[in-house]
Amino acid sequence: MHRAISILLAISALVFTPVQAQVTSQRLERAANEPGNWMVYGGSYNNQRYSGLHQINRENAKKLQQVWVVQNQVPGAWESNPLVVDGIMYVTQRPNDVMALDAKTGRLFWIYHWTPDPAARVCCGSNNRGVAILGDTLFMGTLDAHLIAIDAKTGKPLWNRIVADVKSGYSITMAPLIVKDQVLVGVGGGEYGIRGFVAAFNPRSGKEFWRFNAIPGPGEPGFETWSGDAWKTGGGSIWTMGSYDPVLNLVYWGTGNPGPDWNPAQRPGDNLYTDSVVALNADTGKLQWHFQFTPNDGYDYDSTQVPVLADMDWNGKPAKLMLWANRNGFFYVLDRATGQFLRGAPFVKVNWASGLDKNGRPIQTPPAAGTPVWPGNQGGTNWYPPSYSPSTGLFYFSVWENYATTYRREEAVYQPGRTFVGGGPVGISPAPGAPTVGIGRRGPIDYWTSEVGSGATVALDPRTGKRAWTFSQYDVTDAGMLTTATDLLFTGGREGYFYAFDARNGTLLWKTNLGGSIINAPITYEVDGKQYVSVIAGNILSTFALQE
Amino acid sequence: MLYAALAAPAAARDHLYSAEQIQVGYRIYVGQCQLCHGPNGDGIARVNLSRQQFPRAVTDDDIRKAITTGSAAGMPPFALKAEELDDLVAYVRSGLDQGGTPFRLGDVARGRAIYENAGCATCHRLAGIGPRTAPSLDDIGALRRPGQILTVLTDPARGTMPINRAVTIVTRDGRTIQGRRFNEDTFSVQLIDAQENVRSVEKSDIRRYDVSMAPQMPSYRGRLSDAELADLLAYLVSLRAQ
Repeated sequence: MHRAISILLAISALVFTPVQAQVTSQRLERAANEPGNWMVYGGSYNNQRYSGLHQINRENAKKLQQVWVVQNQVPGAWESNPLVVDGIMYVTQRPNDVMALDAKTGRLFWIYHWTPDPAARVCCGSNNRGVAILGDTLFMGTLDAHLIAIDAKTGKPLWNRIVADVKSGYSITMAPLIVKDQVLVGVGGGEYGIRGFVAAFNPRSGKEFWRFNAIPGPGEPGFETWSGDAWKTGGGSIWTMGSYDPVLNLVYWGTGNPGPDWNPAQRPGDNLYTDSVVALNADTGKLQWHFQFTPNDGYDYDSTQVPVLADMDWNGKPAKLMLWANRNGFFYVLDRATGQFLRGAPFVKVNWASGLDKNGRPIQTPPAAGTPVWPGNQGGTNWYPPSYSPSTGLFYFSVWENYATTYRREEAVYQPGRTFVGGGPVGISPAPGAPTVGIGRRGPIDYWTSEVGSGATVALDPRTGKRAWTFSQYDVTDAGMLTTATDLLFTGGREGYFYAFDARNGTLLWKTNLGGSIINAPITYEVDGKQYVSVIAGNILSTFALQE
Repeated sequence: MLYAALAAPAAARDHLYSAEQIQVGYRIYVGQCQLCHGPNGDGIARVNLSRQQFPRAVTDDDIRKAITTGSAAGMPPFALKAEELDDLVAYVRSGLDQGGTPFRLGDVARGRAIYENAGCATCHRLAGIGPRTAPSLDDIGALRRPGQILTVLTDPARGTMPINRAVTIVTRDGRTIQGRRFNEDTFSVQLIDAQENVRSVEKSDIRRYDVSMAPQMPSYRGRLSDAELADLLAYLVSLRAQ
């Protein structure tokens, strides 16, 4: 009898809860148990981008067809990550618009516009990578470094708080991270001599709870890794999304390059906590541990990759791990409770370091001035989110192969809000003097060609550090990853193809040409029993499902 | 030397941009200009410094004047020494070439005559005249920096854009297609063949695919004097049809 009642309760919960229930922090912590929704940036707090949905599988993936399209009204790269909650999709577009859509049809409920201060400076485009949701409220960081709370049902702003000074080069491009009853957000500006930080805010008032400075000040541990006043303009931006382990009560963030980017002689020392991962107490922001990937970086190797948290056996014992393919060309496995280095190996050609020592510190071998550095300025990989599938045990990410940059270094002079980089790339090519062009290329014609570098979708076995399989793309790729419980891998590339692979072995099961670069990760969700996959390509957001 | 004999020394100096000038100019640009004009020179509406698009300026002196007096549109005047102005103009004229390839711009009218007589139109197309086998040059002055164009003229093996290379394809059914590549991706290649047919070939249909690293164009170093190269470069840089 009792059993019957509890089953009845469970059924009614299934039927009724998804109808616009409040998004509680408890619900967010258990996001993986609601695969029909995509409630946080990486699908769940571990940022595995692994969905439990199984309607689309390796056999029927070839029957995927487009069911709706939304066209962006704003030119420029569209790097936003949609969220889907109870049949409603929330997605941002440049510079700081938020849209709420019917996730079944793409029809618009409302759009919120924010016009950033014209003083906003961003090195690499007016990007926004999406919103976070808690309760009935959406949170967006803006190009002019505000944090805005928006009513999820009406699109009306609730509060608007200045996080940092736009005139000093601060900006926000990341999607905020909800942790318990706090909104966490970090700042960009690594090319403007900022002092990076991540801060936590009250979701109802916008009042700041705590702030972690990525560059320690006088008297703080790590300050000894700076000389003179270099720390004041030390960079350490935090511009990609963090991860959260509720059991360890830690939040994890990758930190950006030191400033000035390309002149390490101007800032002797290791320059903590730039190019690092920091583990912070989720309630106080206090530093629990750190691991620095690239001390005294001279190559702009931001460690602004999304930390991927995975529980798996390590040396025969269950372990809480962090998996990290870094812009510097090495893949790392860390113990995420302690920060201990467990394994690291290059996944592309690397010549700035000969390897890693037993603590994971790179043995730096700086190439001679005027000669190519592998990997090049955009890195072996970059901010585009990877995926880890607990089903296959493999880590999936986009890689730039055979790609190098030659740098010019010079003394940078700090002026607030101005570029503070200390030189820059003078050639982007494995061949010195080859006729190549800037890093921002994103047109439909591949005038770099494979002579300058090419892309690949790579599946890597974290246990060995070796590639399980590689799908080579002719053009480089900035696409993120999505895996499912049916061992599908969805991704794309600059060429505009959207792919479904057999995640186990890299067999291409289905592809379609969307005509625009895919420079973020797909997501998947379910509404009324139907599974959808959404991806942004160029200026369209395209959603697919199986043919009826 | 021929050029020096024909033209006034001051004019010649006016159009010679050394590597040192361009590089010093770059540093001045970063400090004084980049905040508004941006690293690529396109930060202000209707101005594109790397593509030599100015609201009014035509000559180097016009650019100097714009810098020293400012503009009604809101650009403040900059107090720079004459030498600094020369360096900054060199950097702007280089198309914001941080690499600092030195170049010299001669006379556009003489350059046009050289273009017509030196055999360029045997392969290149311009204003509807000439074959399509080599890249059309109608907007080459906007697409490429002067230093890049000069490199193609004098060292085509190094200057040729990889995408423009000659390709030879043998299909699975035994046909041979030769041409100049337009574009390529993971699954296909687009090209214009020797008969000026625009072709798209699926890689799954290809048995053999060769991309020639040899330049299709001769080097004009030695064929043309330095002065003639400067004239030809001035003409090519002036080609910026939309």
